[in-house]
Amino acid sequence: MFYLNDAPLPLTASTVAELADQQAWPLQGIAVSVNQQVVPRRHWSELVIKPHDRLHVFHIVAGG
Amino acid sequence: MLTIAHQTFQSRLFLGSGKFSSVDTMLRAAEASGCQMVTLALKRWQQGLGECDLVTPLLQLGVQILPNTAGARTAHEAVLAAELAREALGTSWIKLEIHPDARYLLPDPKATLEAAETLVQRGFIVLPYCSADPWHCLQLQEVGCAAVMPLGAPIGSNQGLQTRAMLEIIIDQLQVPVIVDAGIGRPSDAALALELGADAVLVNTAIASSASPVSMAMAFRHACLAGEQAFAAGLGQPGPALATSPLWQFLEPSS
Repeated sequence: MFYLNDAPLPLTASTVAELADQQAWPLQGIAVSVNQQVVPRRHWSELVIKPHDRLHVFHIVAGG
Repeated sequence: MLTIAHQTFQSRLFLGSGKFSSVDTMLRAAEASGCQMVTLALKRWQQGLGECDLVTPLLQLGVQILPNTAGARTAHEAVLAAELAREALGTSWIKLEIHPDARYLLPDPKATLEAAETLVQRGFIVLPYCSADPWHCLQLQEVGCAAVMPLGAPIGSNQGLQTRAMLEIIIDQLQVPVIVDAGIGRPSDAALALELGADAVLVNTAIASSASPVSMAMAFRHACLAGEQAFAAGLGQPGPALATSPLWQFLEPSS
C-alpha cells in the first residue's frame, strides 16, 4: 500500500510513470512529489514506488 | 517600461486568474487588460475532474506565467510549492505567498522572509506578496527578491489603498520594483498606486467579480496608463487656492 494525495491505495504500479498511465494524469501542468521531494517527469520511469511512500500530485489551476 | 529580473513589461497591470466565472472569461479579460503577467495556482489533482489547459492559451497571449504558493502555511510548504510549480510550468518565476490566517489572509512575514531567502538561493525569481511594512520590504529586497508586492488591503476586499502611507514610504525606499498587490477594488485605486510611483499593480477580484469582467479589465488598462503617464508627467502638489484665470481688467473700465 502507498498513499496518493493522502488516500491509501494498493501498490499496483511499480513506477511513477506506470501510475501516471494507470491514472491518466494530464500530459502537462503536472508535478509530483514523493515523500516531500519533487520528482521531475524525466525520472518518473526510474522511480520505483515503495510501500508506505507518500505521493502527492498537483496540477496548475487558476488563482491570484 | 518596467523591468523585473531582466524581463521588460510594457503594461504595469498584472492579472490574477482566480474567481472568474469561466476560463474563457478569464482569457478574454486578460487580453482586454493588455497585461503581460498572469498568476496561476497549484491544486491537488483529482481523478475524474476533467482537465482544462490554462497555460497554452495564456502563452499564446504572450504573457509571463507567475505561479503562486497559495495554500502554503509555512516556509517549508511554500518552498515545496515553488519547486512543484517550477516542475509543472518550467518557469523559475514564483509569487511567494504564505497566509495561514484564514480570515484576513494576511501574509506571515517571518515565513515569507525565510522562504524568500531559500528560494532565491535555489535560483527562483521571487516576487513576494507581503505586508506594507517598509522595513520588511527592505529585508525582502536584501535577500534578493526581484520585486516586492505589498498589499493595499486584504485579498479580495476591494478596499483600495488602505496602506497608502506605508506604500509611499516603500516606494521611496526600495530599489527593486514595487507592485501593489491585494485589495485594489477600482481602476482609480490602480491609477492612484501608479501616480504615487508604484511600478505596477496586480488585480484579481476587482476584475473577476465584476458584472462585466472584460469591460472592467479594459477600464483597469486605461487607469494604469493614466496613472503611469501622470506620474511621468509630474503631478501638481496640493497647496492653497491659486487663480487660473486673470481676475482683473475684465469688468472694470480700462484706464
